[in-house]
Amino acid sequence: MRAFRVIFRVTLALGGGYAAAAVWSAALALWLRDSLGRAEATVLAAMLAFILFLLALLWITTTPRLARASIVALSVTLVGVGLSRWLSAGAWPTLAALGVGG
Amino acid sequence: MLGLAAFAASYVGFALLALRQAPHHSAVIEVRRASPSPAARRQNLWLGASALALSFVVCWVARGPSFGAILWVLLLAASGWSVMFTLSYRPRWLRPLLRGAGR
Amino acid sequence: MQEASEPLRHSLSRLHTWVGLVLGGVLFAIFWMGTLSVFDREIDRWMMPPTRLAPAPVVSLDAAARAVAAMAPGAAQWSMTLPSARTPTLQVRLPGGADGSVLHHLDPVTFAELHPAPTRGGTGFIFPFHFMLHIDWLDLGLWIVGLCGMAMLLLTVSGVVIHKRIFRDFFMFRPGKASTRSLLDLHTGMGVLALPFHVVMPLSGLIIFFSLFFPGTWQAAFDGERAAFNREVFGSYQRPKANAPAELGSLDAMAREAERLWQGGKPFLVRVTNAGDAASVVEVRRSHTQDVSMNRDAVYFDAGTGAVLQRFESKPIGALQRFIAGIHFVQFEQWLLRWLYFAAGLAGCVMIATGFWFWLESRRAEHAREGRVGVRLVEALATGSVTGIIVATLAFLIANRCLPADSHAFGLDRERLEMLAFYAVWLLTFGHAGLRQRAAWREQNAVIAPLAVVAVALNWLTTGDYPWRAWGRGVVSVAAMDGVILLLGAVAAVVARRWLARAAVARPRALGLARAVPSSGEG
Repeated sequence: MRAFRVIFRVTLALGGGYAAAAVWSAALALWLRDSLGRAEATVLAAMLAFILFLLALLWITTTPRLARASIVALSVTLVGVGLSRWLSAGAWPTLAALGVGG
Repeated sequence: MLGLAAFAASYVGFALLALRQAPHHSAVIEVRRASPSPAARRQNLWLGASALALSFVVCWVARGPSFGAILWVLLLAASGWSVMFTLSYRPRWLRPLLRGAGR
Repeated sequence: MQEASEPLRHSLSRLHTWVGLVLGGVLFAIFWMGTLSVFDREIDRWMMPPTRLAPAPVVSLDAAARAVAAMAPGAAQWSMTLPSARTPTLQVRLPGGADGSVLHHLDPVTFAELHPAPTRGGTGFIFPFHFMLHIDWLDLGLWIVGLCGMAMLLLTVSGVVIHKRIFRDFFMFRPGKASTRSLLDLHTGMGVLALPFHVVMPLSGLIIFFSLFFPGTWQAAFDGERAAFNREVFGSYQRPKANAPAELGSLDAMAREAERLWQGGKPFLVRVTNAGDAASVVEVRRSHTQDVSMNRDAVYFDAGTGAVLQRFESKPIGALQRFIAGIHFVQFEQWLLRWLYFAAGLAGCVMIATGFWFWLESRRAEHAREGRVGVRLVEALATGSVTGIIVATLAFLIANRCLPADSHAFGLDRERLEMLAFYAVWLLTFGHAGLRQRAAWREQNAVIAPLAVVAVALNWLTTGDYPWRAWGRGVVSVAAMDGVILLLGAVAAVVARRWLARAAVARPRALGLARAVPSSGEG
């Protein structure tokens, strides 16, 4: 049982952490691409992705309750996916109207 | 040559900072369980930090901002290790620093 | 893995230990090959004696182009890399060979082709080993190295957090104490004093490959258009053929124009596409030896008229990525800095090795008592990964000096035979470590010194270049390489005698101390 928990946590950290970092980095690139230009936005967001991944790895491997880690990792990733979808579907007018972003 | 000067400055800086710590102070004066006085510790903090800052300035002058900054960081590592091994194998070599900085 | 009551430090300590044990061997290989890669071009000079020329600039690019045209009259694409202090030959890449292009080394003054015995050398074996472990299949090697990069960041962060008295121990190294104390002091000392290096190197290495490791980012921002991404971020220019013949204009004039546009930045690479066609393009790339940044600065010229078609320069954030890449690639010609990088890399190797040894020494008695297999397994893998890879590297160098130029065996060409020497010896060291256990450390260390002497002696015998003769000829790199090899051998010999002999004597004490290891947070 303990070995299973260890393997699960490592997989969650690597897979879930990577997924979360990847989708939030994509969302950031989309959010910044109109203000910075798509080349600059991509490079900035991708460089930050490694930091996001590191933070996720640290948190998922050390947080005490595995169940909580799983739920948080999953939700954060899903929210990120939703955000990227929304941003890439040309949701800019809505954001601008809210006064958010560049 | 300036590189050597920068190394020397950071070596001295780290040595002074090390002398603020009781085990290293004891090793250099060869008296067991000796501690540096609070005045000496204060003085060594200022002198040591200044020497490290001087090292940075020399690196900047010698190699420009980008190369200089990278050089400084790596020289800190090299001088740090040098001080570490001096303290382990030849602590007496640091005795001259005690005179200037106070016991 | 954790109960709710365990403090953060304890869980980070276990993370540090487990990541270190599982990936430490691969990490050592990456660090070792990376450290050697600082001098990959110097290793090339050592392994390719005909290229040991004193540095000399190419007087005329147009004369070089005529020489290339004589070598390969109908070539549609070709490129030449101008000689530098570290690579004194004119390197010309022409179509041909199994991979599509072949690299030729020419004398920069006479344009005569040099014929070194086929070898991958430092730039073709040592350096790629560092970033992709020569595992090509599905880019798996790159991904493993990427994982190790993230692991290194985890190890550094966790190492700092679990080190309870990091400032008190800043300069602390106690060689006289029990071996576990000395080993831990050395491990933390190598780590803490070069902390910026141990953080910046893995991070910058990962950032070099940002488009591979996080493709979702550019795919989202560029709507999947890969060509547009490459063009806007890395610069590339293409135009279709005109299918009409035309002559190549003056490369010297183009190089001068590029230098003028770069305000003094020198060209290092000239690439011609669709040579002989009216729509042929000449690309001139800017040298990396003068600045930190691995710039992608390029000027594209119309091959016939020399008119500037396009000029590429990174935008600010792109330039930051190039600067970070440059901190990792170390292509600048700043000798003090390069030697310091080399020293810091070696310190990283010592850090990994002492990490292994510390774990082994503090667990040895306990595992022996409880009949657990951990120490025996880790010891075998660690020895092969540390002293083993060093022995294998020396075998690689020796094979380079011993194999005849036209070697062929087991269906492998000379290049692959040299690599076979490396891998075969490396495998043997693992077997040796599995059989001999603890004694293997000392035995493999003891073998490094004579192998180092053999390598330097073979260089002398086969090329006539003993260290001060090479220095006198202006080929400092070969002298320095011989010097470093001998120094490595000397260090290994000292380690073999001092540390391990003392450890054998101290074993009875270590048994008693294994339980009372000071709580500096090791897992």
